Amino acid sequence: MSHHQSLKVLLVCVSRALEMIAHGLADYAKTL
Amino acid sequence: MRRFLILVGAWLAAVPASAQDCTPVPHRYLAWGAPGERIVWGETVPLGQVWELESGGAATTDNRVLEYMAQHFVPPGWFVPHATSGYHSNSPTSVTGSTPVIAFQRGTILSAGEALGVRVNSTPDFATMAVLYKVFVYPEACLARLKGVAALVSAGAPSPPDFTALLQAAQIAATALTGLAASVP
Repeated sequence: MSHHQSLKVLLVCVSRALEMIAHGLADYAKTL
Repeated sequence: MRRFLILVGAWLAAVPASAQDCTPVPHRYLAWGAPGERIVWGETVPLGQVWELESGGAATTDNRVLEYMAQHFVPPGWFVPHATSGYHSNSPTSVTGSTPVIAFQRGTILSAGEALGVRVNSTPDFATMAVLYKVFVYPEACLARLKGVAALVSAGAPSPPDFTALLQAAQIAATALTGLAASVP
């Protein structure tokens, strides 16, 4: 796997993680 | 990087402004009424302030036995009895020109628009009297602390935190990251 591909995977992972954290926080806020 | 530093700088500058400074600021006042003036007032507390009385009262140059009354002016227009009325007589040999006759109640907290004053039951030939005091001035938001209660008292349940802005920002960042990933060859 080239460096570029690794970077690509990392960026996509960070992007998905951000989305998941944000949605998780929004759901948590609804339960308060 | 420069933009980041500017943001951090702006945040640091905003922090002291949002913190409530409840440091007591001493304030002193002395005002003589005109000869014959039988009601003398202190200052009216300005909007946005609370005052805590440290010491104060009235002094007189009249040497007769007279009744002095302290009053606390409370908007819209009440004269709340403040200190016990007292009788006073200067002996002719001890008239110094500023004999204390009545004291305001120490620790009294005055809100905006309120004032302390003194009146005397006398004939119009009354000499003069003064109102004098020392107070500590605080911003109005310090009232809860002055009274020793929690500053934030909520009647109902606290409102849940709002993550809308965070969610929006995260989505924008995620889209940008996805776009960035797509642009990587």
